[in-house]
Amino acid sequence: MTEAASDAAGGGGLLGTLVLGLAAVVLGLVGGLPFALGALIGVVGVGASVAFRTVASRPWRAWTVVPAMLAVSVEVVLAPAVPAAELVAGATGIAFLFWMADDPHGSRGRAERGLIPIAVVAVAVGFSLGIVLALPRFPSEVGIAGGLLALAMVLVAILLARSRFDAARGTRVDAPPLAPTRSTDEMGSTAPSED
Amino acid sequence: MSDVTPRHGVHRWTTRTYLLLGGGAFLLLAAIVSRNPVPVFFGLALLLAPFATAWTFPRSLERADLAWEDDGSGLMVRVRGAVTGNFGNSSGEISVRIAPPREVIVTQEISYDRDPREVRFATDWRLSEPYIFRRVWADVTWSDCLGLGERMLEGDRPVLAIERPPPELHALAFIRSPRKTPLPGEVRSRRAARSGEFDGLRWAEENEPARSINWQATARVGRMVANQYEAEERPDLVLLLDLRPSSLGRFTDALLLNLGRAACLGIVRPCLRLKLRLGFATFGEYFDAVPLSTGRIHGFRVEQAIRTSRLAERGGIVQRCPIGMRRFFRPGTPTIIVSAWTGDATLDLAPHLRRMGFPVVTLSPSPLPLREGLGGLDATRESLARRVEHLQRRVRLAHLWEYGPVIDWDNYETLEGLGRALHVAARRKVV
Repeated sequence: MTEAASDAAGGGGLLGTLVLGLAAVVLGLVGGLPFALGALIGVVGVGASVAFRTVASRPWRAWTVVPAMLAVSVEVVLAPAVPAAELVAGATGIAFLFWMADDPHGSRGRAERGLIPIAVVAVAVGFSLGIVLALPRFPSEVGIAGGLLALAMVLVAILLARSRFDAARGTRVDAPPLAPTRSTDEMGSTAPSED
Repeated sequence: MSDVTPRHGVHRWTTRTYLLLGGGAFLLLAAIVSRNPVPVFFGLALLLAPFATAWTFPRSLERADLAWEDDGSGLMVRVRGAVTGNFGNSSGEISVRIAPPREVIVTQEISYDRDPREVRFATDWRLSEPYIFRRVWADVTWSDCLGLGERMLEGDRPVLAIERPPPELHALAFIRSPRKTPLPGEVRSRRAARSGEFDGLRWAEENEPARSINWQATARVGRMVANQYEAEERPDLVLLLDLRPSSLGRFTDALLLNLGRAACLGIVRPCLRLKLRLGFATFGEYFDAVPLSTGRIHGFRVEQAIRTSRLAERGGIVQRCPIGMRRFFRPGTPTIIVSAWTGDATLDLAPHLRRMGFPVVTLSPSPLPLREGLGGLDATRESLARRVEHLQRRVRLAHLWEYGPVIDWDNYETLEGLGRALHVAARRKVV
């Protein structure tokens, strides 16, 4: 299989890399590791993913997320349970998705088009964070449940925006004609149609 | 190009989705074990992203039709095509999945030029075998911008035919070429031998059958005269394909063997069309042969033997070949040796066959065109290198002329060189 060797005009994934790198560094700094070790882990993980994505052939491109995901996972697991860490963890998740969308192997404008599903996720994560951070007396589980509820609402809204009938699936049934139709051929004579 | 039934599309998760879901699940587990909610906020994005992207599939994209063609020639395959459909403001990407046949090397990866209603694509391949008949299928898929899911789209999916037929030896000069179109009322015999077309008169032999005697001519001349038929004019022919590995390496050997097989196919077809008795032999580690015969069934048998011939792991003793030839074929039968001769004396078949009484013509596919441009030289040095290599090869092939005509086959598009050599050989009664 071959795939687009794509346009460097799409930005080359620089913006996504910067966003994810910045988020990973901040998460490392607010995390619990001493001597900015968390930031170093984040930079190394993101750097490894970027390098892997640059050189990987198509079958291996799916695996390019693994180094960055592992590095950020280490950071969030070791981070203390403070609101700042929760906020940065959520933001890093969104940045991670944006980095995936800003793929240098993709077509021009892929990152911008990818903002639509990222926005859906961001609403859910933001709702969760909002509940946790704005209402500190609620435990985090309530915030997460609220986030999932928000996601469900967004998905239902998307569903309702779509047509109820999907003509390609054949669910729409046309009503039979009320009277037999007649067709006229080129010579002017009329004959009942075959249906 | 023929249409195939489009397949229905279902949303399919990619490997990346499973990685994200696995990572999200691990983070949830870590949050529960450590009673720390921070991992959940990162894991939430990983867990929700696949489902969020799945809903971005545009409803208007119900059908995407593919049209494509190969406008290359020779070894180059230039695949150009377009996918048309109502893509609109789809947040995903339309891509064409092509499974190239194993005989091609992708020289330029597929590139896209996207419009709201059309996605044009192009890719270039180089054939490792110069003569192939392959059908190539393609799927059109929509994939989301995060690379988490894809959906196969419905629509017209024509099959791309890559056809590079072998050159046919139209100029078999030593065979009298009959008319291609029968005269009005003429019914041509499908059998070879004495029921062939009447060609002329000749002196009758001692044990000539009575049916062959032309009695009117005998009465006029006063000596026994027999009818002569075209079938009797045609000599037998043996094709000997060399399957032994050479010092060029297995990769180049395989390419040259493919060329040799194509040449054999190109020779077999016109020969059998002319009702020639044809034999086919291969020599790798051991000798194998299809005996002399003619007709359609024999043609299938020979073509099958040509197609299934593979490069041998190691070469056999050269003397096995002439001994095998003597077992299957009568000495004096003209033999075309198809061999990528590299100058190694131990691989040389021509003297041994000549000694056994087989007049030989050597057709040697040249490896030089296959190597052109691979050395990374500039145009001037490439030209110089090509000339030096041509001279070197001519020197190597020169001593083979002692045993019979040698054709340095470097223009793979035609077997004209072989036809010319056979014509000259026939005039000089070499073959």
